[in-house]
Amino acid sequence: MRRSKIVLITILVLSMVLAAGGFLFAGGKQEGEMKSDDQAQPAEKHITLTFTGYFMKENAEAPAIAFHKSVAKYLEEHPNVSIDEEILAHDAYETKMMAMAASGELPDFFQLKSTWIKNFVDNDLIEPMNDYIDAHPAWKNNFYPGTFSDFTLDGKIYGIPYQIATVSNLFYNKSIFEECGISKFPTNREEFISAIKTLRAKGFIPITAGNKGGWFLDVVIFRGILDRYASIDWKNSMIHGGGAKLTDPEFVNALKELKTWADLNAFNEDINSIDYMQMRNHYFNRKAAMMMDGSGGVKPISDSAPQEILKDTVVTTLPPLAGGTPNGNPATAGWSYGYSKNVDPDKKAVILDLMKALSGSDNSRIIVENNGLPASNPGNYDKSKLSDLTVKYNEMLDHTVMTPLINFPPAVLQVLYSGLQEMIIGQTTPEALAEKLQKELENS
Amino acid sequence: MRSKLLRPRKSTLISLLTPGVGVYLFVAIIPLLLALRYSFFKWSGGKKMQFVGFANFLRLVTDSDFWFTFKNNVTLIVLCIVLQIGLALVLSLLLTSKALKFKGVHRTVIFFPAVLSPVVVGILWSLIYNKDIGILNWFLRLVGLQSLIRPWLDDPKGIMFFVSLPVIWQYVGIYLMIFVASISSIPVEILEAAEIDGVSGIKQAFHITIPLLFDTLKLAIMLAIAGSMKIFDHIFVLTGGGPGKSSMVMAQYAYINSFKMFRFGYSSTISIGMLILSLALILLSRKLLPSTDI
Repeated sequence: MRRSKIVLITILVLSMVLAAGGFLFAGGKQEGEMKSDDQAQPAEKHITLTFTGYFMKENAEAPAIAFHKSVAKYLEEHPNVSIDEEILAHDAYETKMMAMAASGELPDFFQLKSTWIKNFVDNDLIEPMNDYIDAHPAWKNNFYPGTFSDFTLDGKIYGIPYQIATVSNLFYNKSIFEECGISKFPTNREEFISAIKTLRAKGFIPITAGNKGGWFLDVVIFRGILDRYASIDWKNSMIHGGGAKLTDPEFVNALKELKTWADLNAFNEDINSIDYMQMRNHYFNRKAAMMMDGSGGVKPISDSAPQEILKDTVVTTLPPLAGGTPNGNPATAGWSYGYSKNVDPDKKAVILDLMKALSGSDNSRIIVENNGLPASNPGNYDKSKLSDLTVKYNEMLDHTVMTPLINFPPAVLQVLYSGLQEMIIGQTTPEALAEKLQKELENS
Repeated sequence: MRSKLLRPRKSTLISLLTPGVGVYLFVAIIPLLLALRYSFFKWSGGKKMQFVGFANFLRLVTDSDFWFTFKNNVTLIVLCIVLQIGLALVLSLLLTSKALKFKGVHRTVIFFPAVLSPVVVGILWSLIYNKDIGILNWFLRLVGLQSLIRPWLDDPKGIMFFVSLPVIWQYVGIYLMIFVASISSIPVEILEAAEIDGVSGIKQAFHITIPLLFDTLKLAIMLAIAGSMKIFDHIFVLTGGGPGKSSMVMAQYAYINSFKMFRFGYSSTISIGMLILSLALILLSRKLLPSTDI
């Protein structure tokens, strides 16, 4: 063969190898396609939707279980629809959505975080659903009050909620408290601080926490403290731009409270290097007296904790500390289902219909029977399916007031997360952090 | 016949180089040019991009968070040069000496970490450093040094050092290979002549081998600087920049600005800033290290 032919063939082979490699590494689908039998309906148009989310099929939390069951049921009832699912781990999902949003190409429908909405609306990626929602009053009125507020901007609703999470729940081991001579759980600040000192003196970790991700200290612990210093009115003023500032004493004193606890060694030494799942080990190993977690932790804790620990566990919230809302627990819908503005009309109709099924009472029933907290009323459900811990949690909810969770813009949140970490290791002061946050808030 | 192996035709050369250069252009050069473009805009992703001229660069120059991360990168560079290159040099001298047995095994074991993914190395070391179940604390307990036990990755003062160790451990093998190759290329006659003159062992290493290695050393230092300026994966997995921002590096600062704070324009500015600083440091290192004139 002539030299030029050899070279040409080599180039062709190399290009094919490169292209094949490109195909292999593109996509990244972890779930296969969910097709249903679509051969019997040649007349109806076949619709394929793309979905990206973080609802894993294994180790699933309640809304994930409900999602997969409801989707399967929907596909059975609508054989002309199929869904290409892409499921990623939670943090990877958020990163990927950011990248897709930046390039302006969102999947057909997806899990939408409340803090993304302003950005997506500014960049023309999503559209309001008020017309559809108002056209289905029975479904609309089945939602618990206030669940749409996280996903509403200027009166327009952009996401459909499916769960409510309370963020600042306190689990404590009453046998440890009794062992340390504390017969009753603290009912005010003095007793709480003294309990922390006693527990630490007796060799226990007063509160176990896992802040490697940076958000834990803020969402689970700090927001609970904030409720004990800031009234609902102040929080609403913050949310709706009514003049409240982060440099107000409500906020600064809450920061100071957290710093006091850190200075008293209330937390585990490795708080910043373990995450919110690893922190549970301290509690399960009976080394920590208290643990704070969001409502999403109820099921995993129920599933993994040793029986003796579960038996001794009581679910409550922080005791009253100063003023604010003494028994408040910040609650948020947090995540919702949303869809891309650019889908064509037949797809849009199917997506809206599907999202309705994913947030209706049938779906909510699956959530609640799996120890979750749905955003809409499940109607009658089988109470015997709930774990003991969930029953304790639900009883606690009856005695607490759900307060709004302030959704700061992402830039401010980032400063808050790293700022709290710095504050508890002494690299910044509450006042300095509050000033930095207020400046960041005014800049966004 | 004129050997076509030693002097291939131009068309052959070009056609064989094209795929590699093409991929490199597409994956490295074009994104760099795009980043340069984005750095002049205020952009939160999506369709709206607002031209702001040099405002981002001005902000970068006065951004204390950025310069703090630069300090962390410089700390890493110093640690890498001293420990990574230093260790690789010592090991390469040992590996090429007659005293060592089982050279093949040593080479493989030292080089092996370099083929691991940085994420794997990060996770591995985060387990090693774990306060309760980590090997490091277990070992300290074993030898009776309980007083030294602490949550290694929570210490804001020492964190840059602890976080550099996995990086050093992973890439020592590469520098080792470079040095071994360089030492092997020293003409045997020089070393034999030195032996005859009575210079052997450590003296030989210091006075003969290392000076002859000087150019390779300069190259290794350049590689260390370039690599350390863009380090991301290990630290991201180990500490995520924490506690607070104590172990934050420039690459991660850019990542946070783009993917967490929706500031794609500013994070492109950070990347361009990283490029300029890396070039500056490399040029500085070349000026400072004397050139060898044998």
